[in-house]
Amino acid sequence: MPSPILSEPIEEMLELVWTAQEDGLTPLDRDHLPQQLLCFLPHPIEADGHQPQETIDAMIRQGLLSGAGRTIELTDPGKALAREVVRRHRLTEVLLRNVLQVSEEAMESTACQVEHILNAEVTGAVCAFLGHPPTCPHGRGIPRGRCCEVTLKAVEPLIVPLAQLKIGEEARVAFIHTKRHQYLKRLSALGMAPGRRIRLRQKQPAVVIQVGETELALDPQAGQEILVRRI
Amino acid sequence: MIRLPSRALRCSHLSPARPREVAKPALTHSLIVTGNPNVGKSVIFQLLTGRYTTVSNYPGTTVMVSEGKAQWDGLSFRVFDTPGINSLLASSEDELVARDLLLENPRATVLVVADAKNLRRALTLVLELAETGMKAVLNLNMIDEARERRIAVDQEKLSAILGVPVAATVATERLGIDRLKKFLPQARPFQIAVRYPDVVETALASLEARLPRELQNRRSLGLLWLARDPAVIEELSHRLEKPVVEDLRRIAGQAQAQSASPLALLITQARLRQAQRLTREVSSTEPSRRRPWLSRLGDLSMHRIWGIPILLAALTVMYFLVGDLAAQRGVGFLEETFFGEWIVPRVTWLAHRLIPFPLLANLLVGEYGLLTMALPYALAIILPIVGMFFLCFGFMEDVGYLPRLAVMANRFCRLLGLNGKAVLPLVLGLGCDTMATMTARILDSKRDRVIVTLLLALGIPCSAQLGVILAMLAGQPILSLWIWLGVVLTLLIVVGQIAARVLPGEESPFLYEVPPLRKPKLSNIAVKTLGRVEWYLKEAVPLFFLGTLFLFALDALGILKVLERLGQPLVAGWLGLPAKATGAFLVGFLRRDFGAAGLFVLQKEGALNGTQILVSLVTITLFVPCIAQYFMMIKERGARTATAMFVLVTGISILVGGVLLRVLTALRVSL
Repeated sequence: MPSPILSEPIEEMLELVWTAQEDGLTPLDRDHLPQQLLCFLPHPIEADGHQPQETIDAMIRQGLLSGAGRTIELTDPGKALAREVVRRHRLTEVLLRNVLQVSEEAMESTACQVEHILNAEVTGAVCAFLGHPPTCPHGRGIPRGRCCEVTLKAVEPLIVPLAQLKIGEEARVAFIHTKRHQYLKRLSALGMAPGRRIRLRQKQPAVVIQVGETELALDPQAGQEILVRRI
Repeated sequence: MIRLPSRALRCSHLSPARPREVAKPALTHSLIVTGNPNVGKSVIFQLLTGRYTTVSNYPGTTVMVSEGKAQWDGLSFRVFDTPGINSLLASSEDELVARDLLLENPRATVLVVADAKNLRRALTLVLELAETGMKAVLNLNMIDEARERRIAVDQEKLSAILGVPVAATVATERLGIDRLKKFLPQARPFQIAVRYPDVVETALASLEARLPRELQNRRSLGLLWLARDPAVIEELSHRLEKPVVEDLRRIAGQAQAQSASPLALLITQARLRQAQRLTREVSSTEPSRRRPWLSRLGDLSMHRIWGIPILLAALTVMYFLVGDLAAQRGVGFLEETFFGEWIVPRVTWLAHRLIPFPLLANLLVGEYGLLTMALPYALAIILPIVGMFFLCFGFMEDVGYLPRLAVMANRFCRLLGLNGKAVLPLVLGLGCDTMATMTARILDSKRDRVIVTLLLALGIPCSAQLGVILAMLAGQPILSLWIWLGVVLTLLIVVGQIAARVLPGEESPFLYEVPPLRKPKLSNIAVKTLGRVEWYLKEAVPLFFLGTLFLFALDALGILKVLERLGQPLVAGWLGLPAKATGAFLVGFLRRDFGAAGLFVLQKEGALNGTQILVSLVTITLFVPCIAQYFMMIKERGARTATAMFVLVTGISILVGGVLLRVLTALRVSL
């Protein structure tokens, strides 16, 4: 079979059926699609002038969906492709929400656009940067990519909260993700900034880190807020 | 030049009660000693001026500005010792004091004291100070510790890059001080400037152009404005013409809109990067695998398991020295033998022989006599106890154990609605609540400062009082000690929790710098202990005389009897104590330890049974702060807050004492 021709509407539909499957809604009735699961409204399927029915027919022709009467389901090749789309979407959400801290609305709309343009290499890099997160901000599972499997077997995730380091382990500050602005200001005045090499000295009763020749005692919350890249 | 008006940059609107310890320094020949916390500024200050200030091994020892004089090369300098800062962008009160002094006196010379092993941090501050345009000398202190860690600094290169003289010292050993003194008259403005991201530089150029040309530190002020420093914005808005202020706001607003992250962060990070590059250029570190044993001991002392036996060992040693050696043997000898057998009988005999007026004789040697009550109380009961306590405390301060205690106590402090940093003033309160109330300045939020002040007033006994209390409990069943400790701790937790919930504001996050554990420097401990004993003698002994005089007058006029009768329902009825205890509580208003000493004597006379001892001790522990502490509370927190706390604490102490008595009676606990 020739490799399927993917377009934005097809990818959207793949994502929709995948999500519906997660929610136990499959097989789907092609006349009554669960609109609440559509990626981004106004929906690109309609916006592109493609009717959902046309898209579905095209997908059945390409072997991505199996249609019996009015019900549709993902085929195995369809599942494989849907998995990638969903993975890109949800990783983008984590990046936008947890790291860049954009609003939920902006996160949704951007993720819906970005999912179509990320290639495999960039997706892998984003996944590694985020420390192979298991779930998106909505709590839905992020399908594992090859990078995750390799990494999970071989080494721990690249970017982790400070508290997950072993005592005595060294790391570089990747970013500090806190809403406590005053705290951030004080941390940076003490030399704690992205790129700085630190060593975890102890976790209990307070987190103690060594920055250069300075030892700093921090509260447990900071152990989660300071994200580091293992060396 | 135009100096900012007297109020300039003194953010008095933020903390109206903040005191001003020093007069404004003259414009020239002023030397401000500044630098990161715990780098030895106070030692340098002492060596330059010969004036003693408290020196310890933890950040936050100096919370106010001290002034001294010095002369060299025919120039006379006024020298100012300041609390440590990491940045001019200050957040706690002690840092604000230091930065205000720097910003208000741009013509002064700064002596930047740096921890040589922590060059990067020092240079981050240096880069910021360079922006004030002030003349400066850089002092690389603790060069011995840097060498031990195999960190080499190229001082000549550093001096060439910064454009100011650089002198290395080991201040505690007086090494290099003469060279430092020689360099001071050669102070010059720094020749180095941080290159900020374009968005900051562009905005900064526009801001600088709009600030009055006479301001030497325009660049500093501009950057602080961009970093949204509330005090600087408020002060400049107050002082400059309205259209100018509008301009400043607009420029800063536009710059912020162009940047994804806060400008304050961009600015700090640019400085950090440059400091990092500079550090690499002038210093090199040979890696060494071996960690010194002191450093390992330092780790253990705040380890979650090993820290506890170390703490217990420290407490046991202290209990032995203070509670046993000083409070039992020392006091026993001084009070019973020295005063009781030698002094008092002789002066009493003499007084009655030589003084024909019985009233006058009684004033000296009567029941409330200056020589029979004030002097033995102050010198025989309290002095040995506080002296020993000061010694132990000085030792712990000097080696750097106290900050580790703060780390260990982080959990407990959260129970009090505070974070571990608050342990420092609370523990210092065990030394002297008055000084500790002032140390509350190192805390980041007003809310925390209020809670700490309240807890200090309520349930932290000072060294003198604690010593007497422990001495009294030592003669009692061990159960008494546990009940006393349980009641006081429970109350601290309950009151702390309530205050934490009622007071507005967030719990300030815990961020505290832990200094290295150091070998104790005996001369420093000795000087510090003697300094504190001297302070005690000067401050406390007159109050003991005053209190005794007061009691004598009340007694002679018959008012004491009236008061005892009036206090009867409270002291005898509610607390179940003998009427004579009224006197102890009355003088407790003057000094906490005075009150405790009164109870101590009652116990010795056998006037109190076990239950009464416990009830009276709990009450006097929680009882009003002493008069000096009360004045400090007014100074730091304002009269209204201080008085409210005073009333609250008095009420709680009497209430709890009475309730305890009833609970003990109901449960038939015999002590």
